[in-house]
This record gives sequence, structure tokens and C-alpha cells, in this order.
Amino acid sequence: MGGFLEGLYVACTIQNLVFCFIGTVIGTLTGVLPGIGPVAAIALLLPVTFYVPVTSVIIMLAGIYYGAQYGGSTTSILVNIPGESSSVMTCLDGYQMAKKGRAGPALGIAAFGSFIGGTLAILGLQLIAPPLSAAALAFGPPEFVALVIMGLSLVALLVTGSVLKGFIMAGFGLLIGCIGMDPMYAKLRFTFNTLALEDGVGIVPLVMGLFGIGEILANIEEEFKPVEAIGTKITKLYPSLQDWKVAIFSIFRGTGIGFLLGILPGGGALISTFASYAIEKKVSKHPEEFGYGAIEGVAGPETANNAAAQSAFIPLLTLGLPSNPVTAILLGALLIHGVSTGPQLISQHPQLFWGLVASMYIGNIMLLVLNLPLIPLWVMVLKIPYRYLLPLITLFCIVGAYSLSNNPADIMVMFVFGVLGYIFRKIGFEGAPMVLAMILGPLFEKAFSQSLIMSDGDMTIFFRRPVSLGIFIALVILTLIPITIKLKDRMAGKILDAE
Amino acid sequence: MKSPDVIAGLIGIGIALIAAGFSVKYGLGRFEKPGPGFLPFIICLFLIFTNLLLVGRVLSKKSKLTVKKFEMGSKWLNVIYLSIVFIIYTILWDVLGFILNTFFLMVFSLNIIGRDPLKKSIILSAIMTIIFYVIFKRYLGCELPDGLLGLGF
Repeated sequence: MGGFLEGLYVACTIQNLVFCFIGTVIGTLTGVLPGIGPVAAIALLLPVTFYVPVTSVIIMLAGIYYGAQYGGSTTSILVNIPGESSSVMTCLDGYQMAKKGRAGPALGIAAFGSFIGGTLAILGLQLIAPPLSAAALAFGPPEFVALVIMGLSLVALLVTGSVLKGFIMAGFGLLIGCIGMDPMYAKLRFTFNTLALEDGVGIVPLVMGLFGIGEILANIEEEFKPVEAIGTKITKLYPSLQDWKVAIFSIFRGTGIGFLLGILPGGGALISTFASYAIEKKVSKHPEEFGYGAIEGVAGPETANNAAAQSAFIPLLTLGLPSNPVTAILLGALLIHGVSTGPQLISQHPQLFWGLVASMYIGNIMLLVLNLPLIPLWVMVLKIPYRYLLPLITLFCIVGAYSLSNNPADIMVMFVFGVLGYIFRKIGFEGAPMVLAMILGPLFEKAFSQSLIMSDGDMTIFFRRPVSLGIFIALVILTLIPITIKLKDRMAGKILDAE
Repeated sequence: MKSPDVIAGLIGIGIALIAAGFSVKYGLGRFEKPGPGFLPFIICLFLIFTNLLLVGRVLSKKSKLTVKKFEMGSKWLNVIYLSIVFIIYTILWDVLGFILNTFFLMVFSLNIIGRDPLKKSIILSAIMTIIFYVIFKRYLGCELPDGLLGLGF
């Protein structure tokens, strides 16, 4: 409790309140605008934060992440285009509600659900993180190796497309992470006598290329269509008592689903919205209404994505393990500012941890206040033609990539990965496993080498230590579950065909 | 054989083989004391295996997630144009400096890609470039180059 009060004191300074506000506004804006997500937004702002204290930086960047979850619902409901990938399910029923003149209640329940889910998830973070962190202090290099393998495997397993391609991308990410100086012997690898590669491939240019420039290239190969939003004058933003009666349990279920899935590497906001929607439809007394304006189809997924965005901080802050590209970038931000993450973060930087937790409560309140009254403003922003946003985003990417180390080679790296990102999209390779693997690669290599030195080259060290063995067993179980379900479905299909 | 997945898989195998060769050159060390090339070598073996699996699954037509064709949009030439312009932009970064280089990039984006009239594109590009220059160089201290013509303030 003492830590939290200290955090509240830190979060309530004028500077941190301002940065929290800036983060949540930018987050909402990136959520509203299709074509730019929190990953790109955080990467773009990273170089700008060098002169800012690290606590304020992380408060702002976190605000961008969970703010984007709020903003995404606006576009989904009013335009039938997901502003954020995690708002895709909201399009199904949210837009239908808007077409029936119920845009207000849809937006309202999305905002209130996000607030409730977010707040409860932060409470969970507050309760779970300190004991988990204390337990993780006993982790050694073999345990860290096991965690990274589990994290990368889950990220690859949970991609929306081909799992095999997910693993390939993770492999290439690890290889890219090997470029530059070896962490154990300081030997240069894969630099080909290029000065620019001696520090390795920068995470910011890579991410901005893959997710920023790649997105731009994907968008410009189609005709720019004007955005048609349903009305700017939206009335009755507050859901009725009947709406609350129908949606409240969806909100609580969404909180639980989002919280649990957000912790899993590769889980996160996107998977939680799909899972929430599927569960709501299954438990509903009127499943036939889904897809035609069922309020539970908005409340559940929107709550889940926000809860997942908050709980994703648990592995990052307690284990130093990012569970998705956004938290991977945040890890990068902490490392750039000289903060080593991992189980010792809470004990060594209590103000940062508790300040962040307290600011999340404040940020969620700000978002609730911002989102609903400012909807006409967000609709106006949506109507800015993409041909004007395109050069602005490009410019942000260029300056962002360059300003990190004033090296034009970073701009070239960004453009190269931009073209690669475009090609990857076309052929079904997702960027997330590559980004995570690249960030974790050097840390993984160090832990792996240390483990082998500890055990005199005996690879069974990873299976002799109970915690690392437990992690591998958990990974096997988590891998077998979807395979078993798939096999069961296939068997059931074969039986039906036979009948 | 023309599936993008097969091409991607073969390129992946090629990259992994080359990287594996370099890893051996850096020194694999021993299990008791892994060398600088040890983990990259293991990663390359993993990549060769997974890419072979990808190619194999496509050729045996077992995968439902195979990408059969590289689908391009109706304005695919925009992608080619912008990619080339990006390369030229980077090469000329220190030569022309930020202001002039970025101005031309913005005019290209607005006029060629966005199909805005040239006059409007020039005016908007100039405004955007100057605003960015002032914010990032003057207020945020970013070291944007002035170029050989010394265009900066």
C-alpha cells in the first residue's frame, strides 16, 4: 500500500499528469486513425523522449498503448473500419447498432466497458506483480532461457496466419539480433565491415519500417476512398438501464478473458477480443442477434482488449519479458533510458513501477472523460484525407528514425524494412514475432551462454532445474491444447461426413 | 513452384546457409564455452529446417494457408515509385539537406501519389517541411542536416 501511495504522489505531479494526458490523447488519436497503430506511434515518439525523465516517458508511452484501445472503437462503430486491429470484432455489432441510430449507446458501453476492464486489470497488475517479481528474483539464466523460448513460441503459435511462418519470422528476428557486437566476447558479427551495423540493427528504425512504412506502402496501392462516418451529431451517449443489464456480465467476462490472455506472450488485445466475442455469442440467450447489433458484442470485446492492454505489463515489469510488439518497444525505451528490466525492477525502481500503476488509473479516467464528449472531434480527424496523412506519417517516421543516433543509415534501414514489411504482409508473414525475437535475442544469447558455462556444456540444465522444467511443461501443454482441439474438430467432421 | 511461399522459403534457406557459413567462421567454440558463432549457427539450422518444411508443405499441397499468388492492388506502381524515391531520398540526405530533400519528397507524395494539383502540393509541402524543421531542429534539438547548399536556419 505504501508503494502505491508513493506511486500516486509521483503520478500526480504536474509533469506526469501532463505526460499522461499527452499519451492518452495521442493514443486515442492513433486508435481512431486506421493505418497508424500504437507500435508506430510509440516508436515515433521514442527519440523525442530522450530529455525527459524515464518515469514520465513510460507513463506517456503506456498511455498511448491503452489509449489506442479506447480510440479504436470509435472508428469501428462509426465507420465500420477497425481503427485498431483489436477493435475488429466491434465492427460486427457496433456498426449495426450505429446504423439503427444507437451509435451513442454503442460508443458509451465501449467506453465504460473499457474503463471498468482497464481499472480491474490494473488492480490485478497491482496485486500480482510484486509477488511474481519476488518469486522471479530466484530465476537464473536457465529460467530466463526457458521463459524466452516460451514467449517466442507462444507469439509464433498465436499469430493469426500460419504458425510455421510465425516461427520462421521469430528465427529471423533472433538472427537479426545477432548483428553487431556479440554480448559475450564483443566480437563483431554479420557487419560486413559496415560501421552502421556495428551497433546492430536499431529497433526503432526496424519497427517504424515494418509497421509504419510497410503500412503506408500497403495503403497506397489502392484508391484512396473518402471515409463515410455515421453522423457527427450523436445523442444519448449513456447506455440505458436495460443496456447495462444486458451488458454488465459481458463486461466482467471480458475483463477476465482480457486479463488472462494479455499476460500470455502473443496473446494480447487482439486474441482477447476474438475470444470474448466467441464466448459472448456462446453464452448469450439470443445468439442470433450477434452480427445485427447485439450490445454484448461490443461490451465484451472492447472490455477485453483494454484489460489485455493493462495486464500485458505484468510480464514486462516483473520478468522483463515483453508479450507483444508494443511492450517490446516499451522494453526498448526502458533500456535506452538505462533502466534494466526484470524481477529487480520493482525493488530498484519502485517510483517508476508504482508511478506507472497509479498513472494507469488516472489515464483510464482521462480516457473516459476524453472519448465520449470529443467524439465529433475524432470524427473530424477521421475525415482528413489519407493523402495528407501519408506525408505526415512518413515525415514522422524519417525524423524519428534519424534522430535516435543522427545516422542516415537508420533511415535506409527503416525504408528497407518498410519494403520488407510490405512484402511480408502480402505473403502472410507477421512482423510481431520478428520484433520480439530481435529485442530478446541478445538477452537470450547471454543467458543461454551463461547457462552452458554454468553446466559445463550440459544441455540438460534446462530440464534439471524445476522452474525451467515447469516452464517447458507449461509450453508443451499450451501447444497441445489447440492441436488437440483441432484434431477433435477434424475427427468430429469425419464422423459427420461418414454419417 | 511459382508460389510466393516457395520463393520465400528458398530465399530463407539461402540466407540461413550463408549466415551459417559466417557463424562457423566466427567460431562455434565448445558446449562448455560457446563461441560467438554458436547461437547464430543453431538459429540458422532452425531456419533451414523451418524453411524446408514450408517449401515441402507448399509443394505437397498440404497447407491450407499457402499464399498462391502475390496479389497487388490497382495502384501497385505507387509502391514501386515511392520505394525508389525513398532510396534516392536517403542517398541525397546529406547532399541536399533536410529542407530541400524533404520538400521534394512531400511534393512527390502529394502530387504523384495523392494526385493533388502541383501548386497546392508545392505550398503544402513547403509548409509541412518548415514546420517539421522548426519543431525538430529548433525546439527538440535534432541534428537535421543543412546539406551542401547550407539550407538551414
